[in-house]
Amino acid sequence: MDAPNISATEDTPLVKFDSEDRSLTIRGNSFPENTFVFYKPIISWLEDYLASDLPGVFVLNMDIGYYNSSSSKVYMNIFNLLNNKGTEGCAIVVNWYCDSEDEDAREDGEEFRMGMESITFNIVSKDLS
Amino acid sequence: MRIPEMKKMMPYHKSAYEFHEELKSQGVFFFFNGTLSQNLLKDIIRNIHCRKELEIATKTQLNRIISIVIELLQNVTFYSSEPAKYCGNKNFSDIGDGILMIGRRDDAFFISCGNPVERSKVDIIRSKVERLSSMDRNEIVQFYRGQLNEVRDEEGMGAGLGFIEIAKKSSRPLNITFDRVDEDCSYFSITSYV
Repeated sequence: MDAPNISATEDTPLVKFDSEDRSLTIRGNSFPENTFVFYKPIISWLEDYLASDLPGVFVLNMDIGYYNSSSSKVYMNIFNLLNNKGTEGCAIVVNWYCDSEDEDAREDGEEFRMGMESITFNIVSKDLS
Repeated sequence: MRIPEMKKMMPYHKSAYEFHEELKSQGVFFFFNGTLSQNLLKDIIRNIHCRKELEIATKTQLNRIISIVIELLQNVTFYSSEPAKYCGNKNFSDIGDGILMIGRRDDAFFISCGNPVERSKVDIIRSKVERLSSMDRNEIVQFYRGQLNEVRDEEGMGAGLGFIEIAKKSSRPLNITFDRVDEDCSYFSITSYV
């Protein structure tokens, strides 16, 4: 399966894999009509990729703007998948970027981070001013 | 013909200006009535960014308003899709009939949304929202966290998190009403304050 390389639209994020530094970036708004249809191939690819047992650290960069609750659900599933891989010994880093002026953005990141004990989950404040 | 006589002859209906003034008196600065769709949602979000009434909103408030609009409209397109006679073409799952209002009163922004729903869904929606209304913010956050991990089904349009997300972003309990339209259909109204 090809690595994701999807351009952003108004309601769907950019999804891009960089094979050199083993990082997957999801950046932009995420409120498609059918969220699960949008993310299904990305999750399938991620499952296959993480099963291939490559050396080094896998990084997921999440820089999300407006997103719907179905996207939250999908992200939780992705983080749980990564955490399970972490339990199996994979080195995994998640960077959750949040707008420093939005009080909820950090809280959302902290909610996702709960229970993620087998991966490094960073909450990175973006200073937009 | 003199104006008073003309008025007497015509069946009275409000002019657009009178509607505009009435909405203004209610604090409403954004109003839409008609067919809601994903494309319209994108337009509305663009429009919200340009409203001068929202310049006084903090970044957190603005983001909460937009999140709530997304959940409410995607809820409408989800719940309103069943009774085809109220929403045009049943083949378009993203289309639902509804109303959206955004305004400000009593030092808070409000987002009101309304749409026809099948009467068989009234109790389901009511129990979901009433359960949330009895919780404080901490309890809502806990409940949200539980649901986020619990609901694992990947079918359907939503994850069942919509109302919880709206409640989490609201500063007051959600206000809902159901008005009977006919034996199959009720009109669902919901207001969230930010």
